[in-house]
Amino acid sequence: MKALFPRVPPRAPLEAVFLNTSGGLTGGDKMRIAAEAREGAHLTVSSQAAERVYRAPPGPDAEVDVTLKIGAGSRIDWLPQETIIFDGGAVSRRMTIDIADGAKALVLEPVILGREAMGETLREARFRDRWTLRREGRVVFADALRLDGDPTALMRRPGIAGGARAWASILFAAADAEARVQPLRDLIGRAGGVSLIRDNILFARILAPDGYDLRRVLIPVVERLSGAALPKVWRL
Amino acid sequence: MITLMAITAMNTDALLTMTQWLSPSYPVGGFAWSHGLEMAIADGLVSDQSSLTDWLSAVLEHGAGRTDAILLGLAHRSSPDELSDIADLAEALSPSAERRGETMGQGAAFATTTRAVWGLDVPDMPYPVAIGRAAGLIGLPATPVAQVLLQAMTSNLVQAAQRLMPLGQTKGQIVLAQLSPLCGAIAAEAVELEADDIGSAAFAVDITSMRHETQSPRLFRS
Repeated sequence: MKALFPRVPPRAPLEAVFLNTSGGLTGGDKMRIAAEAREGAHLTVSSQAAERVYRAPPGPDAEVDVTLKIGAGSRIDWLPQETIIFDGGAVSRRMTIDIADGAKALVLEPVILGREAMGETLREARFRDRWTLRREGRVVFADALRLDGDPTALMRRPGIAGGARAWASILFAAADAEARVQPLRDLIGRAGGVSLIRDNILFARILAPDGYDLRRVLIPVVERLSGAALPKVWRL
Repeated sequence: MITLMAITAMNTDALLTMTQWLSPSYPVGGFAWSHGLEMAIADGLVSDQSSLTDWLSAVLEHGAGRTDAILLGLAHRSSPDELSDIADLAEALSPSAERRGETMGQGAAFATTTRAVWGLDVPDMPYPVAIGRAAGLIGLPATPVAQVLLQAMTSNLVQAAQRLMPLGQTKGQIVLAQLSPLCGAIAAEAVELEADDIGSAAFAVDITSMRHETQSPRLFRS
């Protein structure tokens, strides 16, 4: 695991890019990332490449644990590239965000089931993702995803994903969240939904047939929320 | 079998209190909420008996059904100190403003009536947490309460569907009868689980509740 800090123009937010040097995740792997922005700081974090989750041998699932601490007046944009789950992959993720009053968070997680270039159909996978957002110590937003068993059959069901193989979750916690709802509805259209769940907390979910279509909807949405182009690693 | 034994072990007063709390006449206003189903029907995702059954089974297995049963079990066995954290988590897990309204509105109405009638210490809380807390206070076992809650939730959504699309009374009851074993099985397993076991895959159900915010005209509040 490495973190790179690309050169950015003066007064632009600090950019961090993490890189899993092992090339992917498999059973028993543990990855922990912690980022903190103190008063007035603005940090953007992304990943050098998509994170691949390989077939896991019997035993514990791969674990990914991310904690973000965002102090008063500061901001973190968490913008990793996609997680791609291979057939037999098993990953358990946790995202814990602590935010002070008046701080901003933009958190994205795109996920693709299967390698499309290989025409791979997943028959078995386990995916867990648990997000917790605390504002001044109190839990104000949580999202828990759990896919287990045959993900292709599961995703085909109309109440689950209607055959989509990719999704993205987007959380935007900021004082100006409400003003972003209508522009995001227009950008997302029927590909997903967006809601101001409570004061200053906007959540959106996008479903797409594949990774290409996911990016097509996702990139304008994230750029609208961040007010900037996605980090360069997204364009490589 | 386990369910039957649990219910026969429950005394008659407790059994009848449970059915009163979860009957459609208990004033929680369930008829006003469709859990996104109104949008799903408008989008053509649900259009007949079989697609309704599949949609509702996704809600039960991979959405609010399983999650609410876990929350009910947690509230049922929690200490008073832990209860407010469980209530916060339940509210925070709402995937949209209207789903938050659905659980908070019904929960507050349940708590208000239950305080007034039984004098129980049940604060305004998300619906499954308030029910779990009330059941715990009067010694009702969690499993049958969660099973009947899931069936009541399903029944309410079947009735919503009957107002929104052509589906006769008999077909509606067939859907409910087909899904009742699922309500029983999911609730029995889920009430034993922990907060960390909560997890949904009902992406489309959640998205319809987000999209319902701008649906017009509409009959339901979610």
